[in-house]
Amino acid sequence: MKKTSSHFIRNLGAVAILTITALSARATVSMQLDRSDINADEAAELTVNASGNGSNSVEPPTVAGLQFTAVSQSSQIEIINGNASSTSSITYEVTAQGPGTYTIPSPDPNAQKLILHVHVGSGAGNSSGPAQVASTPTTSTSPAQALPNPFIQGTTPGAPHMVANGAAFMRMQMPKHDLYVGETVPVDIQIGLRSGMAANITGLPTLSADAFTLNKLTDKPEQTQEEINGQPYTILTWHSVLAAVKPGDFSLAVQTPVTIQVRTAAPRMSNDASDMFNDPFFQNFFGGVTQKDITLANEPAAIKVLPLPTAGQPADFSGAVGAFTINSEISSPTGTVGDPLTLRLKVSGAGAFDRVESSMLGSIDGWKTYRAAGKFVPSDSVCYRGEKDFEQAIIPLHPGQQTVPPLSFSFFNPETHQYETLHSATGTVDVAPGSMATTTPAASPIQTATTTPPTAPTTGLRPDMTETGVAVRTLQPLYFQPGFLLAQSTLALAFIGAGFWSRRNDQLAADPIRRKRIQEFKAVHGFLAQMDSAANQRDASTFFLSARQALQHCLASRWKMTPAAITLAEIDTRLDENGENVRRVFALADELAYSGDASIDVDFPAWKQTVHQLVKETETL
Amino acid sequence: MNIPSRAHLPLLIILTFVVLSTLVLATSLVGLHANAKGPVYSAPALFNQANAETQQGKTGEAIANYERARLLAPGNPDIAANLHWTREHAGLPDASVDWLDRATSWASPNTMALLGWLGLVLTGAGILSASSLSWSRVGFHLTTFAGITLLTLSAMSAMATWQKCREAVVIAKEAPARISPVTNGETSFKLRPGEMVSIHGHYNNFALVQNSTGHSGWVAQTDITPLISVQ
Repeated sequence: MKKTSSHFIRNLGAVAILTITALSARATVSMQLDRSDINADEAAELTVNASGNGSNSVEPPTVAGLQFTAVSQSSQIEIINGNASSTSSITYEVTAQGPGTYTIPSPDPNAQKLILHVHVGSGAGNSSGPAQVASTPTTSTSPAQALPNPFIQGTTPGAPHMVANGAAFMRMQMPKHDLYVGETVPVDIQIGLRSGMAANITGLPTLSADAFTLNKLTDKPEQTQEEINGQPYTILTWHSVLAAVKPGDFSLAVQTPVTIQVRTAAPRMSNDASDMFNDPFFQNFFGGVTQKDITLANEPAAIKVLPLPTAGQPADFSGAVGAFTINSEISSPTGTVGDPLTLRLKVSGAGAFDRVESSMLGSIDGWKTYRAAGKFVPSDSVCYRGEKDFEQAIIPLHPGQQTVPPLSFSFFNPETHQYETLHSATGTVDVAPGSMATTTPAASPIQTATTTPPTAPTTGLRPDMTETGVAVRTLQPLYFQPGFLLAQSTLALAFIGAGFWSRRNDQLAADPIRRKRIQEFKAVHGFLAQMDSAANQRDASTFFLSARQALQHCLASRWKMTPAAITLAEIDTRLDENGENVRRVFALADELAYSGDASIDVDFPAWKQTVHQLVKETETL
Repeated sequence: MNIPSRAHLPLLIILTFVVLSTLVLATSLVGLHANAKGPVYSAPALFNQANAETQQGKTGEAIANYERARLLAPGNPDIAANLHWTREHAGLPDASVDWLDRATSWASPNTMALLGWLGLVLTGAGILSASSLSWSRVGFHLTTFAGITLLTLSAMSAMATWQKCREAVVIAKEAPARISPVTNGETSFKLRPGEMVSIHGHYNNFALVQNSTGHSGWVAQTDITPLISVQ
């Protein structure tokens, strides 16, 4: 039972001092552990007994990686015939900073040392970090050799790995480590959880390298029990198929997120005695268990993936890598012209069946062939072994003994490290004359039905078409194809835009005043642009001429006059003292026009701003 | 004949967009009919394949391919006859044909789509020309009317085709329709090979289908084949 009490610790010194003072020097000390195996998140109890007629100085042992906390103590003093003897007993709670094997030395050099095995547990440290898995005590040894090197990887980036005998482990078993691109191998991914450990697997195992793919894993792995080093483990096994997708040397690991229940260590001392719930007793009594997310991973395995050789690659190689055999058959050794037969090709074996493809027979003389279709039937749960059956409808076109050419299938065999091509046997079919010869132009359906009695299952069935027809790549109609939708949308938008443009023109045509104002607006801004350009070129003559014309158009629109009628005299009359700047623009424009001297010193930015301001004021009048 | 100057620009813009749209459409059509690698479909090829499948006893696959052939050549009597024959011998009724199918079955969906594009061109050109140009307004109005008619027919065909996109044919010998999309789900009813169903949803490897009698259930996707899909 795990108990700690700060009160005991506080009083421990006083009790020890009193005891030491009362007793004389000679004492014997013995120690006892309540158990020798604990988890890292558990605590053992060490009882230290001191007896004798001297001072029973009881000090906790010092072991790196272990912490001793006194939880109870008792003492007894007897005085017989003037001889005093005493017995003291202190019980310590022993907690480890990490898993390993710890040796607790005894104060008595003749006494046997105590050994404490601390296993990987669900955590004994602060729940905010992976402290319980972050360090490996230097005094520890690694007793477990039977277990695969288990890693528990903290979710905190950069958290160190721990290698030790653990309460959980992960491993991946695969038959080989040298693969070819496209090759598949069956793998078993296993998670081992020591019985009684509270853990929740929150995600499926994933690979650490992108050079491999894993078949879909089931949510319900196979569950077995296994004893490792005398400890019962629950083993969860996923059977899957690993496929190599690119060449190179890779380090492959598989990892799984796991949520474990961690018993957190409470603060040992409280500085605030008034806070009852800070007392370790309450902290250990209530809760002390929290959930912690970790990632279980196996020890990375070195995998070498070789590229498929280009030399000797058969023309019909479809990417199948594995070991296969083929078998072919025809639905019937006899047939009738026009009646379909079924040609079957069975590819069986082990490997990447998703790459096993066959177009079977192409266009051959004497036969009409249709597209072949394949169907895979796995013989194991991971679709690594099985049989892929291809079926093709073929129709004899001529009577007599017809030959069906042999079928071939090529694949790369990783065991022999070379491409192999298998051929089926040549087939023969005795073909009787029939009614549905497809090489001749199709008669009308009525004629066919009346003049040539068809075979039983096809009575009334109209014959095959002989024309090729218009071929399309997809049955998806044009309506739902992006190109067509884009063409329609472009056109519709163009018409809508043109419609708005036309409507706007019509509105302008019906409103001459508005049209005139727009024209004047454009004219004014045209002169202003001309003026700005002249300012940039420091051409004073053009600048003031453009400025005057802009102002003339503005004022003409305002006063409902023609721009040519806006003269200095008109401005004097209408603007009085408010038109000083306008007058100056007009005067300078006249002066420069008459003198032709464009070299006068003009503050263009200031004038530009003035003219723009004047135009703006005039427009808003 | 004088064209008002203000009409020049919109007409030029429209012409530009018509040319642009034609190019996009042509690209789309070239892509549709290109002799690219991979499977191609034609009404005769699908019809012939369906004939072969009928004779092999693959009723479901045959009906699916007859239906596909009919999509590409809706007016072909041979396809309709063999489809009817196959359905009849499988004990299945002919698929119901609603007014939308009847109104648009005289041309294939692709042809109707192209006519819709032409209808849009005529409608737009007619409306704009009638409002912009002062001559031959009656002709422009007639053009607009023809365009709207084509657009309407095309829209109806698109609606009918959209329904086809949701249809599938049962290809399994016996397809149990389950109450829930799990393999051990209770069977609600059974579908026969060749039966047409409409797909209303998918979940994992199951499809929620409804047959012609209105019954709904979850069937394995391997038991049905959609009419319009990449095979």
